[in-house]
Amino acid sequence: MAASVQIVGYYGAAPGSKTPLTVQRYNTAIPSQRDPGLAYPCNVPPTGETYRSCWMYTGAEIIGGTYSQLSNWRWGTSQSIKSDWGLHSGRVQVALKDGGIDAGCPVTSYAAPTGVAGSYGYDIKDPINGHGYYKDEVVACADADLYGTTNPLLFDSTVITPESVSKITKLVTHQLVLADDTEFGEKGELATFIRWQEI
Amino acid sequence: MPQIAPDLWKVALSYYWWRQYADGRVEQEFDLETGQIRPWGARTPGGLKGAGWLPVTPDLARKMRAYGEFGIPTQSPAIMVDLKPGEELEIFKDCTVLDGYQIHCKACGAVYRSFGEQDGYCPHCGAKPSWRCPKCDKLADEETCPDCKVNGRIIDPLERTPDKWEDVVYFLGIKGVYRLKFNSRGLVAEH
Repeated sequence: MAASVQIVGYYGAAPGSKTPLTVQRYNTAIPSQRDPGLAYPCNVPPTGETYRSCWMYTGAEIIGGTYSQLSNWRWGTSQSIKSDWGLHSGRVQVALKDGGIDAGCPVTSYAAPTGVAGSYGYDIKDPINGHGYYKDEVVACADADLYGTTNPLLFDSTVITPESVSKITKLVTHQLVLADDTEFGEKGELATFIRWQEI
Repeated sequence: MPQIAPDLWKVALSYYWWRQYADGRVEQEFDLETGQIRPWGARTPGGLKGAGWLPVTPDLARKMRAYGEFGIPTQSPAIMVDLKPGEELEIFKDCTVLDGYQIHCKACGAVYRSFGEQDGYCPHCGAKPSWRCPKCDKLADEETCPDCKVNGRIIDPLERTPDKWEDVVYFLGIKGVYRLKFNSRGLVAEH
């Protein structure tokens, strides 16, 4: 038996609009959008500065099927984003919590990304405009290239059962960071995965 | 297919769980006569003396479909564990949805999936991107021709298109003692 699991993102003004993910593109649209195409691009900053995309959310929703327990939700990448995308000093960063708490953001803590539409989004850790669930944590955001198939990021350890009130996982919160040496141009599709434990 | 709608996944099963109680009762995930599903339960029941994963047969795969489940028959053997009193069973499957690439090697015609681990060369024929020098017409492994010192034009035999797929790995063991990890192709060693 198996659960039916949909990969989802959240966008727009709080509390956020849940959207099934087919394609997710780092961009600078405000309110946030799943994929505005080539509008609202991520811009390479002037010398000495750092720009970012708006932060994005990735999670999963159990929408049916037959299952008893789903848990241990993990996320990762091919661990080659930096080189594949020519980011150099830039990176894709993923938000973490202090003390080994699940890295994912609960849906109830959704925060709409802010920034300057078409130019840049604010850093998840920005002391003023950052993400309320993460900005005051001591631990810094991590490089997404650290998390691969053999060492994924645990973003939700909650056990979801058919009786669970919410069947949506916490959300991986991530954003593209562009440095002044990041290469220009449209990037290829990012290789990512979501993994869960099921019985 | 396991991707039952855009980005909606339901993994296909090559194994189903089986458990035996100390009093001799046996339960399993699917009724072999009808294909009807029995959930494992919110907690692992007490009084088990054994458990494991049994391979899905072609007959069971057909019957599972009536209950909305997908089975991939396998000829791999059953994997079982005996439990002593007080031992804690570990039994689950790890399901992964991967968003990677399908790669077509234009040199040998092979088509394969990649999650970025083998993007540098074709695992079937070894073809890899190289640069053709506009002056001497030779192929080089670097952008700059080692003989003519001019930049070449890249020739990439590996054509990539985005692709999504699933992977299921089964786990069975006794907590704190040992754990087996396997799929329909065989045991997967952890290191």
